[in-house]
Amino acid sequence: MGTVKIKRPQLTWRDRMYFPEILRGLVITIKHGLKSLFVPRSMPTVQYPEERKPPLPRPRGKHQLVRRQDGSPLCVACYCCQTVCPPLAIRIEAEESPDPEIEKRPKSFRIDLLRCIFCGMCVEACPKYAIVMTDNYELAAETRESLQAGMEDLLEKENRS
Amino acid sequence: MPQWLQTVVSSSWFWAALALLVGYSLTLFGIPIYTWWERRGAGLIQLRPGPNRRGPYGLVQAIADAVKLAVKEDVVPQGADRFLHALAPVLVMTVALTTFAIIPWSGDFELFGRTVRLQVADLNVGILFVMAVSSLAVHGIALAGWSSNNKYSLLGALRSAAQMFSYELSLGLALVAVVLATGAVSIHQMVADQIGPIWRWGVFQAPVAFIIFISAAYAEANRVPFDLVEADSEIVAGYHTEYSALRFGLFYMAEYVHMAVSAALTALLFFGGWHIPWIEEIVGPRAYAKLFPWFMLGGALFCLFLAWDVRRPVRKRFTRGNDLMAVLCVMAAAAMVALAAVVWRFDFDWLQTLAAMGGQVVVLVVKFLFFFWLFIWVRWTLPRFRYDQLMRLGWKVLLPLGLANVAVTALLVVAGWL
Repeated sequence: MGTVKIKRPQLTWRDRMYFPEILRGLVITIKHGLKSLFVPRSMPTVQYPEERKPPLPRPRGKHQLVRRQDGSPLCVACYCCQTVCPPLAIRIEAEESPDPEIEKRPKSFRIDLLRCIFCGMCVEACPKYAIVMTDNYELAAETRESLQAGMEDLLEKENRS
Repeated sequence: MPQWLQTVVSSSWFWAALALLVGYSLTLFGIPIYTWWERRGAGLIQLRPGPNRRGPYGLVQAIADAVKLAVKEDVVPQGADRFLHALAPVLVMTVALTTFAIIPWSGDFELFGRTVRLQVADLNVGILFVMAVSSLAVHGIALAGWSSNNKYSLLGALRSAAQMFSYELSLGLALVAVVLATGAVSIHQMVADQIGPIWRWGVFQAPVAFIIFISAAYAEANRVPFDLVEADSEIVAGYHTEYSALRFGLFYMAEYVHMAVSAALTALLFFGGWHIPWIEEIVGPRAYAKLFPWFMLGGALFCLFLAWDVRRPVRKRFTRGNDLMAVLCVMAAAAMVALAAVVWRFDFDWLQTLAAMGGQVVVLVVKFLFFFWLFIWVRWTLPRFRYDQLMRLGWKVLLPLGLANVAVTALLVVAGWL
């Protein structure tokens, strides 16, 4: 166990004078400033409400329940997603399905979007691919109640991509 | 011109009031614009647009900020000394504004047989007054820190006291060298000494004094790289941590007024004030009266450019009121053209004198704005000094340098080279 000697960069005489280096710094910043002033496109800022970035593949936004051909939810109320959900945001109530081929269906399917951490584990857990996530990440609202997504809400086709 | 009007126009009261108007429009009324300028400048340097939503170019943002400060709740912390807590911001602001009184905005002119100058108070101690009054600001800051009953405020105030003491010395020594070189204490005489070729400027006569002065001025104004007083990453917001609403606003404004004073002094003492080098040789006698119409035409062109630019679709995208601003710009341009035409056409003695005065004010304000921008520019370029580095720079570098500079300047003056 020896002491490791790290070679620190030594300040040269020029660096110790401060002023030449300060002037160099000033030139660098004014170059950036003038470039942003005269070529606004060079700035990476996205002017958000008017401009949006194109959505990335496999987005993890608000959830969506997938429908069958006849319009009823594909979900079979197996509770996999509710079980795996880390913040306990999903609450399912099951009932008997009228279809003899299918055992159960959800009576209500609620996701508390305020608890949800958008980890996507419900999508991974689902054996029927009945829950997916959309690219709707604009989930600001004025009341807590409006962020409790019910079954109708989740079944509604998101009109984004 | 009737006799009574001549008496009014040539009275020193009239010019003091006018100088007050110029001074106030560059400090109090200018502050909203400066905050906007600083934020936009910071944005552009950091490759982002800055506030660009409220009004054309985001200019109304300044008013929004002011309204926000005015209507916020004024919180006084528990255990604070209420009287001192209220007194401190007033003290800081008053001191900052008082120094503006002795800044001359133009040279001497003969008007109806009397000598007039655009200056509020012509003190013969001039620069000493600035030194004396501006160093009083530390009392306000120290009181603010002490009365807030908060450890971070107190730390900021202590830092401020130490920093201001340290750099006041260097500032004073730098000014001593300038006083020696120019042989005057009154600011307008110092400016008068810089007439002529560009090497008469203070920055070439006393370059070391300039470097010391500008470093110390940044430290006095508590600006980056010497903003340890409010160092937000270390001591929250320093001495004004416990201030809100308009009392905080007063501190904020005082900072900008300090910057304005420093910028004006830099322009006056080191960059020829209201003079353009070689102007008498190029344009001939009454140069500023002849230049005034051209300044006005330049201003009109700039206003017309703004009027065109603000109506472009890319500017109209996020903001409203662009057409109104275009109309105002065109009106300003028309007024400037009319003024230029009047000065061009009529040859009254008093009109030409006023035009010359206006020309000098324009020159000084342009230099002033450049040094104000330098404050902003430096702020977004340099990191903050560490506290020991600050003290080392003040006591071990600037102070000996200032002493040596005074000695060398004195020798040069005695030898007759300055």
